[in-house]
Amino acid sequence: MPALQIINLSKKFKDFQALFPFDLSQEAGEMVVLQGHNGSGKTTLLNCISNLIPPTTGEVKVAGFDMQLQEREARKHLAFVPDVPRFFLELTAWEHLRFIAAANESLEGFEQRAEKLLRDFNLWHVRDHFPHRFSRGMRLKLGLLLGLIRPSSVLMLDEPTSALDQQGTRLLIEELERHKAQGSAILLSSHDPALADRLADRKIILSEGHVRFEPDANRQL
Amino acid sequence: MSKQARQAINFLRGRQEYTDLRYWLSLVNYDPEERSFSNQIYLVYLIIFFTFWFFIVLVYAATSLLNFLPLFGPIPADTLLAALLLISFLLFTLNTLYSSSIRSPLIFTDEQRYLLCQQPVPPRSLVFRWIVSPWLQNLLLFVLICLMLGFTFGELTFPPEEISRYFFVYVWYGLRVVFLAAPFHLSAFISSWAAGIYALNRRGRLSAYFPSVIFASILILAVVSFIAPALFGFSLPVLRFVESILSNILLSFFGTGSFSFAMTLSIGFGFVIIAVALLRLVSGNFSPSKAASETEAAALIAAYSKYGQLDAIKALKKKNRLGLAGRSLFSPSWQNEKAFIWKASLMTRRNFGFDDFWNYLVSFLLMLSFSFAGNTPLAWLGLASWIWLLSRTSTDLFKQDLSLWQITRQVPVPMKKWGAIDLLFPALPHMTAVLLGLCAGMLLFKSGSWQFIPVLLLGLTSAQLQLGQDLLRKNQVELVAAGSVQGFGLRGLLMGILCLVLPLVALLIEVEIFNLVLGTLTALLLTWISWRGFQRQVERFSAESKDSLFRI
Repeated sequence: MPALQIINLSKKFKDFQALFPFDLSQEAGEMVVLQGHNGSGKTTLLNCISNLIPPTTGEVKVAGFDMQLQEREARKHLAFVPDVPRFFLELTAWEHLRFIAAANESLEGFEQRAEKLLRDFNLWHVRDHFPHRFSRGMRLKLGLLLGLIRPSSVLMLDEPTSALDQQGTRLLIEELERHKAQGSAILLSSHDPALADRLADRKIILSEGHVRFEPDANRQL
Repeated sequence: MSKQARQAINFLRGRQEYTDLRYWLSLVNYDPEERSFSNQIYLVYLIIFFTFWFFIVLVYAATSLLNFLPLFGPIPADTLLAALLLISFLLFTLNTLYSSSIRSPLIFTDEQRYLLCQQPVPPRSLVFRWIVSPWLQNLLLFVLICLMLGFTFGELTFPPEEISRYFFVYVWYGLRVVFLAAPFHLSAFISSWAAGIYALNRRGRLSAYFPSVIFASILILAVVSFIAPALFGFSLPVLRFVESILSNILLSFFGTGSFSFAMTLSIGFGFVIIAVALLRLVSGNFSPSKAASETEAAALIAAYSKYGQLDAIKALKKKNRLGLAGRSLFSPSWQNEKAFIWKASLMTRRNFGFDDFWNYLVSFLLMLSFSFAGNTPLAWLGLASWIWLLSRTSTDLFKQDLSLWQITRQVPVPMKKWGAIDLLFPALPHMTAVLLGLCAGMLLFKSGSWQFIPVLLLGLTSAQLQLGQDLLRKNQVELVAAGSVQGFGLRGLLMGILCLVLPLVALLIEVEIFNLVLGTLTALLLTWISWRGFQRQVERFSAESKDSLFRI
């Protein structure tokens, strides 16, 4: 059973076809990198897969659970990190992590996991700070941690390295490789060709809403 | 260099003032860029229309004020009017002084912060060019007050049937106050800025606020020296000299007293010269970048206010209030939807302010008066206004969770559950206030208000659910995903009020069965209908795929 299965997914905004119908099947432990120029539809695709905006046609199955019909089960297996994470004004970084863990029923061992992630990503010293006081890079790091603090079969990340420093990018790659080794399917969008070449088992090129697969971009980690 | 820099500052500030002016004129559909003849005629029409309109309103206000003057007994009218003018002047100046002292009086926008404040511009030129527009804005309301007080004196001087004959003299009564008061207003405004810049230059030290405190004290003493003998008949010997000078200045505004128009005007300009010298003295060390860092929030609030973005202002103020860090004292192991309850409690605690306390008190007092007044149509009106009052903040939590769609939508908790928590949690303190208010009413008035408890609690629940479902109805998922959330509409508010009032109406109907059962059943039915409606809206909202104007 594929970790992520997409069948005939498309999105249309009024008379603008943002995403043309396409299929995708992604296995557990596979990393797919989504590439394309600005406005090609990468964010729309990820938003539709995660059902943050409903697709016009098609269905999405996460770990075999239909995103529309068995949403709660599907969501337990899917973590999505958006390109511009937003946060609650009144919650500190630590409380954000705790809230996500609690809502995903994964409070067991939370303290140790949260501390490790915060220390790894150099946010431990600001754990009690409100994220609206963070720099852009720190906010992105916290957004990543919200996706990493909970277990998931499929991890989706939208431009995760866009505002990260060198150390942050290295840490992220290590974390993604660890998740991949544990059997998570990872789908990420990136403008960085070097990152795509290094990480991708398979690449998807998006151009004006059309999806094109690049089977020759396979890489064995 | 200095001349070129001054020209650059002039150019930049001039463009900004022109843009602001264009914005305000656009509200009356006038565009100064359009050079057509019809547009110029339209400008003349606008000037005549608004002059006439303001004149009528001010004359009306003056005649209304006239009716209140006899309340002060035998005190001469010009003294009373002078006292009113002096108090207005004091309030205006203290307000300017306070806002100038707590942060830089010069407010810089983000663009100015990066483009202007980084340049080696002469600080004095910057300060003196920047002060013009804020002063004119501040003066505007003060001028209206001056005109009104002048017209009031005109109303007293001429018999009503004679006013049209002495129309220009009547208008002059108003304008004379404006011409004489304006220099004093200007000098006070400049002095407040000077105190503010002094405070900015020495921020972090107590001595930074000495000039502000001294200036405020002088003003208050001067006002007391006039008000105390004029209205209450006692005066301090040490202030007699000030009282005499001030009294003559103020009375000359109304053409009485021993100072002539020219003399008072000269004194006013004398104060302006002193204030300019003070501002010149302190503005040599003015740091634009320091001012920009202090006024980031103020600039944003000004921009948001201009376009009516109240939610953005609220968020900005909230950020400032929250500060840098926080610690949660309560961390239960609640999972799933209970995580939303923990989050709601944390957010409510951190947002709690005087407004919330005031609203809880209003709920309590309203229930107390409801116990006293009983179940009458007048009481329903009170309850309708109560729902309106609560609705202004009771959906904030739900709105915020919707605006963070990328978090709340992702967690494996159904939206109908967290939506209900977000809507009902803020109502809990009000429900407690309802209980306390009705119980206190029973004890105090020996009334049978206990029968209203289930009806009001259920009514409040269904009102909240009605507001929530209307809020969802007015929003589109693609816009919400982009962080843009609309508030509920009039329909939601009316339905909420109806859900509260209808069971109370049912309580009044004389039927065979016990009224309480009928009222409670009605409230239960409406709560169930509201819950079903809310669920349906959630389903529509979560699954909708209708086209939107929003494009990515």
